[in-house]
Amino acid sequence: MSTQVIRGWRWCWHTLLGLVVGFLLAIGFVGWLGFLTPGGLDGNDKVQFLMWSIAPVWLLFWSVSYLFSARQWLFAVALASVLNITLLAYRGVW
Amino acid sequence: MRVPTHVIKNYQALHTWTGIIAGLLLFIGFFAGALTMFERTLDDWSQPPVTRLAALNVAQMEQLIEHVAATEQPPESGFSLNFDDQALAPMVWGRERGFNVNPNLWLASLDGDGQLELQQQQPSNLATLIDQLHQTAGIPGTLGHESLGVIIMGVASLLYFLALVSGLILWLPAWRKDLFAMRNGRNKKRFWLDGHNAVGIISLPFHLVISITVVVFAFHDVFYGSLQEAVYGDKPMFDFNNGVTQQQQPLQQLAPLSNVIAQIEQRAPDYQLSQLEYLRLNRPGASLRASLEHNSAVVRGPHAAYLLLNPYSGEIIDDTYMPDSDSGWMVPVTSFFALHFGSFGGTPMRWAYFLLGLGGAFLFFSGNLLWLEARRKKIRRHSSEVSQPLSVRVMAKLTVAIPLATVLAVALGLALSKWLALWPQHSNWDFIGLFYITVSLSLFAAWRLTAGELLLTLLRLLSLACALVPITSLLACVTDIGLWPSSGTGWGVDAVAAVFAVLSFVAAKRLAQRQWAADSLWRVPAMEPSQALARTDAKSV
Repeated sequence: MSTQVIRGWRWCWHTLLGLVVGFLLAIGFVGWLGFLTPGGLDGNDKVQFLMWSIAPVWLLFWSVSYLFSARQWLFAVALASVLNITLLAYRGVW
Repeated sequence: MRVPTHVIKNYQALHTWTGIIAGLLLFIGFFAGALTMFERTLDDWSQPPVTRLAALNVAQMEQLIEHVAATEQPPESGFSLNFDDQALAPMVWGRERGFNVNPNLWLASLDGDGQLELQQQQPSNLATLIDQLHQTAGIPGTLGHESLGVIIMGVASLLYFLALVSGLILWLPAWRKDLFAMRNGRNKKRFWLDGHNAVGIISLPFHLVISITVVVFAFHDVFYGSLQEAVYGDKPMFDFNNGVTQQQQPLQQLAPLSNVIAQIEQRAPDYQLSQLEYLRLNRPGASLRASLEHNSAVVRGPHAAYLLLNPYSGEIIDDTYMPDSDSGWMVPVTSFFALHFGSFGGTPMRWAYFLLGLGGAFLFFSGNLLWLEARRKKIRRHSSEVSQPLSVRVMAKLTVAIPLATVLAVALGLALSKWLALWPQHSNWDFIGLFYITVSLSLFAAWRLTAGELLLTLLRLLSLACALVPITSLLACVTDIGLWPSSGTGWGVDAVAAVFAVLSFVAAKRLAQRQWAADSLWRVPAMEPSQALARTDAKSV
C-alpha cells in the first residue's frame, strides 16, 4: 500500500495511470471472459454483456488505485499487458 | 476500522475535488432525473385535452391503417400504434430519430362515423425536455452523433464513482459511531455532515448503479469500439440481419393487426401491450417493436419490455429484450437498464426512485456546503471587516445559483406551460428559452448579490413559481379562459409543486429570520446591518 500523501503533479500521474491501466485491464479481462465462457464471441446478447462488464471493472480499479504502492502498480501494469498481449495473440492478430 | 492517515488524506482530497468539479452537474442530473420518474404523468398533465384524438379498439385500428394507407401521403418509414388511452392518438408518425424539440407529428384516429380524422400537431414536449435536462444537464451541442451534454455527464459520472468510493473510505474509520447518527447540536456543520453521510451510505448501491450506467450510456461507443479492436477483430460484433428483406411495401402488406396481437399474447400473456412501433419500413431489416408493460417484472425500457416481430409476417424474430428470455447474458444487462430507470416494482418503486433522486441532489448540495464551511475564514472577534477568500465566495454563489436556478427554471416551465398554450405562437422552444434566461439571470444576480441574498431571492421566487402550478390548475376548474384542470394522477404534479412551494417558503423565512455569524457566507447584509457582528459565536450554516 502506498505510504505517501499524494501532492501536486503526482495527482495527475496517479489519475492518468489509474484511468489508462484500469481501462486496459478491463478490456483484457472482458476479452478473456468473452473467449472462455460458453458460446465464445457469438450472439448479439453476449456482446452487450461484455460491453456492460467493462465499466464496473474499470471504475473499481481506478477508484482503489490511489492505494497502490510502486510494486502493486508494477503488478497491475504487467497483468494488463499480459492479458491484452495474450488476447491479441489468441485471436490471431499476431 | 483503522485506515492509515495518508490514505485518509489522499481520499479526502480525492473526495473533495471530484465532488466540487462534478457536484453541480450531478445535482441537475439527479433533480431532473427524479422528475422523469413521472415523465408520463408530466406529459399527460402538460398536454391540452383538445390535442388528443379518440382511442380505438383493435378492429377499429385495422380500419384506421387501411384509411391511412389510402391517403395521398401515407407514412413512409414507420408509425406507431398506441393502446394507452392517455396517448395523443391511436396512430402517430413523423417522429425523427433522436431528440427533436418541436416534433411535427401526424396524429390519426377515426371519428364517430368511422371516417379518418387526421391532424398535424406540435404537442407540448415539456416532459421530454425535462428528460433531456436530466441527460445533458442543459449543455447544448453535439459531439459526433452524441449530445455533448451526455458526454460531459459521462465524465462527471466517472468522477462521481471516485467520489463514492473515496467517501466510503473516509466514512469507514468511524462507521460504528456515525451510522445513522444525526447530531443536531451547536455545531451545525456536524449536522450537515451526518445528513450527507446518512444519505450517501443508505443510498450507496443506488448511486453505484447510477454512476456505472451513466458511464456506459455516455461511452458505449468507445467501449464497443475497443472491444471490436482488441477482442472481435474482423468478426462483426452484431448480426443486423433480422431476416426481413422486403422493402417499400405498401401498408396493406403488413401482417393483420389481430394476428400480431395474438402472437404477442401467446408469447407474453401476463404483459399489457402499450405500443407497436413499425420501424424502417422503407428499408431492408424492417421491424415491429412491441412495448409490453408489467408492474412486477424487471423490464429493459423506462416503462416496458420489448419484443421484436416481422412486420409483414407477424412472426416473433427476437425476444431477448424480454425479462424471461432464454438468454442468460441479457439478464444482467436488462437489470442494469431497469436499475437506472427504476422500471421494476411499479409505482411504489417510482416514488422510491423519486426520493432517491432528490436525495442524490441533496448529497451534492450538502457536499458543496461542507466544503464551503470547511474553507471559510473565521474573522477575528470585534473585527468590522468580513471578507471571505474569492474561491469560497465564487463557489458559494455557484452552489446557490446553478442548482436553485435549475429548480426554478423547471418550476417556471411547469407553472407557465398551461398559460403559454393560450398563446398561438407558443412552441417548445419557449421552455428552452425560459431555462437559459433563468439560469443566466441567476448567474448575473450571483455576480451582483452576496450568496445569502441570492439564496433568499431564489427561494422566494421558487416558492412563487411552485405555488403558481396548483393555482393555475385550480383556476382552470372555476374559469373558462382556455386553461385546463389536471386529471387523475395529474393532480399529483400540482400536489408535489405545492409541497415544494411550502418548503421553499419556510426555508426562505428561516433564512431571513436567522441571526447569522458575521463571517457566515449565508448572512443577508441588507437585513441585519450590525447585530450579526456581535454574534460571532452564532451557529453557521
